[in-house]
Amino acid sequence: MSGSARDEILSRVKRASGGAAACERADAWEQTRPPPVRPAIPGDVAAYFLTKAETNLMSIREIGSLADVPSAVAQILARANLAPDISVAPSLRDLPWPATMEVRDAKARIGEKLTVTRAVAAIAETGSVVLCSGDDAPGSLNYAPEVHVIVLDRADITPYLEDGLAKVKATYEPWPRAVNVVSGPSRTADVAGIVVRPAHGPKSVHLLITSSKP
Amino acid sequence: MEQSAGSFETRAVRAIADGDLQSSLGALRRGFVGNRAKAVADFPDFEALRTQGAAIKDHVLANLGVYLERYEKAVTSRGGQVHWARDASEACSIIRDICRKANARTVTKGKSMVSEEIGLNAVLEAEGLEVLETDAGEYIVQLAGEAPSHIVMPTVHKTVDQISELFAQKHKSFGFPKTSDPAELIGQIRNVLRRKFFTADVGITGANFLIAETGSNIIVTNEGNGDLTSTLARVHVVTVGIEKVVPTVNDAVIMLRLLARSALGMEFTTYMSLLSGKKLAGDIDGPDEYHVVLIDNGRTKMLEGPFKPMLRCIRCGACMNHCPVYMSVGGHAYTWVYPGPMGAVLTPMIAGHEKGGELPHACTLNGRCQQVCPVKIPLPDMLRRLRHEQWEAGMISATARTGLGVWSWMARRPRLYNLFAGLAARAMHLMAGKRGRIRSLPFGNGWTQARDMPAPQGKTFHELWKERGGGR
Repeated sequence: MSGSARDEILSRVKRASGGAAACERADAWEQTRPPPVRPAIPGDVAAYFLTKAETNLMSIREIGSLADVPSAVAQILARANLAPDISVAPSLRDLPWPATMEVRDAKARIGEKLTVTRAVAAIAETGSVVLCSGDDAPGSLNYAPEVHVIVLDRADITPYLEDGLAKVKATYEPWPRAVNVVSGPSRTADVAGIVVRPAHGPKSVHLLITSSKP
Repeated sequence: MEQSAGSFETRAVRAIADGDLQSSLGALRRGFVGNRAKAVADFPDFEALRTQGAAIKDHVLANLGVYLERYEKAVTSRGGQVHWARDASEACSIIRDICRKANARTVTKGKSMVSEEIGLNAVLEAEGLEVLETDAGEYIVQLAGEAPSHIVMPTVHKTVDQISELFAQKHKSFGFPKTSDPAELIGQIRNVLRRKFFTADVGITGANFLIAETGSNIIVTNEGNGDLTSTLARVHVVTVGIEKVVPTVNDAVIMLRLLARSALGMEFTTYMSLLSGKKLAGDIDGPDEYHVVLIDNGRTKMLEGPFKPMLRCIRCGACMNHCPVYMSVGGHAYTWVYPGPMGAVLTPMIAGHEKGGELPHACTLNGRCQQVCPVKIPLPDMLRRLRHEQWEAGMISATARTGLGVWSWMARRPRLYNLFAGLAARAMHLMAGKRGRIRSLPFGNGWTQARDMPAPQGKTFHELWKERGGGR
């Protein structure tokens, strides 16, 4: 049944549009489309990103290198008054976590309080971070916890959405299952238009900015 | 989804008398319109962006077959399955079968207007499945046994007190205290759905866009529910109309710049995800199966004819937010899933003139919908055209046909027309007396019931035009 539905729909579509020339036009599209209209990013791209991210209610802390992540996380835990039982991306598992902290590196649990993941890129235009799922990054860690800590290297800050996604394309083969672009804590306005944080995702998002890449 | 019975007219009258609804709509009017205007003003050249968005969609519609085939190939090359559905019942059967094969018991759903369009929940519930809407607004209307009244803000018709009352009844078994605090009400939803996300067998989401280049579907949310649905369920099903495909990631980015600004007056949504299939080898989480159901349901018919530009629609809701009719009567007065100007076109096109016949007339042709549409759909032209089609099909009432027939006969005889118009103008002037307004008109009671008719001042336009030497 599905096969015939496919043929029927496609033949109707093709009768109404395209024809033999459609493939050629599709191949040439990226070259023929005019350049995107987008907002200007004045001044330093990283500074612009940081301002935008703060407007999006992400907290920002500049740390030196990955080795400084555990102590920064410990402070966030203490401030939020949460038990030292966290889930981190596998690539962060081997950091010098304090012995008092329970650190797992699997996918998210139902009652997940705090997770730590790594951004592939950041986007100045929208003040967002780009997170990709993979064998060292369970996507569920980005949505399940109450507190989400994201480690981002300053060198990975890009100007526009196109640039951030181009970085994904350059880094991953094949394209990751999930590319999550996150721009702050989860929110909703579905009760009488009043903004409430969080809805289903994290209620706070913290960025730890490293400067370890050249 | 079917909504409560009654014609547009009777529902509209009911809606206008509903104080709660009117106060909710008032808040919407103030929020959305101003927020969008600000977001547009902050963008360097929003008009150029609209032109670009419309051009992308036109290019896709002119080459849709190629992009659908490329998209399908990209999905299947990653182990995803693409299903094609000619109509609503075929789409529902496909999804029902996916659920059966997965031995599913619980289905979580991200917000999907197309799933409302095909009436999916009723079909899955008849299978004995537990179906849970996870978008807070959709959750609330599902709990209330209602349909969404806005495509972006499903609960726009509900007050805090109504939601508080609803939760006090329906959430009794969870032991939450009764509350009117929006944060606590949302907290209850978060609490109720948390375990469901993790234990769901099938997660169903819509898609804002499909990308032919990568085989991805894009979901934007502010809540994060779409991502929890698609990541945590064993099986992920995407329900989507065939018109949603765009060529490349960069095309999707351009459309995204239009979407949040037009829909919510926001620069960008909190979450934007490109989801491209099932768990890859080595992945730590993600679904074991990935299905996309490409739905026609009247879309190829639109593609073939003069309503093709309607397929550019990205479901932002700006047209309804700026529509004086929608803002007076709300979404439930419209007879079907899609309200406002876009619904007044889509309902007759998808559900038929029988169901949506009145809707093209529920329009003042003021043109604001077209001015704010991110992809420049000529909505007023389409509504005029639908009226014309109804006329051609003999669907317009005998009274209206006779009246228009008489008018058109006169209008083609200028001397007679001018004579009659002059007499009528003077007669109305006399009828109005000193007040200059007519309280009740013969044959026009429907109009004068709620307002007075401002009377002509004595002379017709043609007479004044002649006096002032116009047309020389």
